[in-house]
Amino acid sequence: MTLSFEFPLFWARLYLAMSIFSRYHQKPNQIKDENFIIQEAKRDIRKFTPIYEKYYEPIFLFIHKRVMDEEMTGEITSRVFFKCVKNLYRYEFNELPFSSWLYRIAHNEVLYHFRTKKSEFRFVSLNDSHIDLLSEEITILRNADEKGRLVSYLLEKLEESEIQFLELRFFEDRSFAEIGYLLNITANNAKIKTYRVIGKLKNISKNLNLEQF
Amino acid sequence: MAKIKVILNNPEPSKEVINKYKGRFENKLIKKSRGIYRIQGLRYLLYKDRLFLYFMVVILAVLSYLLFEDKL
Repeated sequence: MTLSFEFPLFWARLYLAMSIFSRYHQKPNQIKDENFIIQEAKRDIRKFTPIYEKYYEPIFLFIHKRVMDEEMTGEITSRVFFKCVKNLYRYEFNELPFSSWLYRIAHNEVLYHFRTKKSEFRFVSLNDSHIDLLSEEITILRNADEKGRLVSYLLEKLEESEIQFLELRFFEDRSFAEIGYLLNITANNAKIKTYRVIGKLKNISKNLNLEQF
Repeated sequence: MAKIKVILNNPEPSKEVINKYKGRFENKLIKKSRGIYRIQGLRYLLYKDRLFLYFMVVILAVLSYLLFEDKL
């Protein structure tokens, strides 16, 4: 039976299937199991299917939050996976989850999309918990409605290159190591830049006439 | 440079919507990738097993030298 030969792969697949709907950080053994599948997929690309099944939705949502157009999101997502499959032989395991590499490709594709279509908006999707989190960081003490309006106003004052740090760190709950990998900078640099943006927001909010919110 | 626009409490697209695009673009992806699937194995060999390939080239060179010199 072929099952006995593929025993480690079987368990790796099972583990992956169990974590399909999980959006939380991965444990080290999960990362290694996933890497095992990737190494298999490098030899036989058909084995990439469980990875595709697992990450299609998170990558779609990652792009949709920034683009807010379903048709365009579908197009970019397909490009991300196409590039991933095309360049899979280049992927080197670096103790970070494989998803970091995928998100890095997705991030670059979104940037490319906005570079080529200059008139479009770059969207930032926030919910109440994001607003509370950011309000705590920039110490805004207001009621929920005012907080929402104020945070929106402040974020719209930022550049795309600045807002990505807040998005990745506070809204998507990523580690600085992962942010650094995604943006091709060091983890320390990612941390410094994130808190520099927070500092900038604090300064803007200090100089604002808060009565209008 | 695209302008930043904040959207509050926007619902995520449903699973049906996501799967609609998944199905649609999966086909496109497979069509586009078909050529890549074929060359992927060779590419991996070239990238990962370079030493093995170099070794094979040396063996072939030695064999062809021996053959042409009538030493085999």
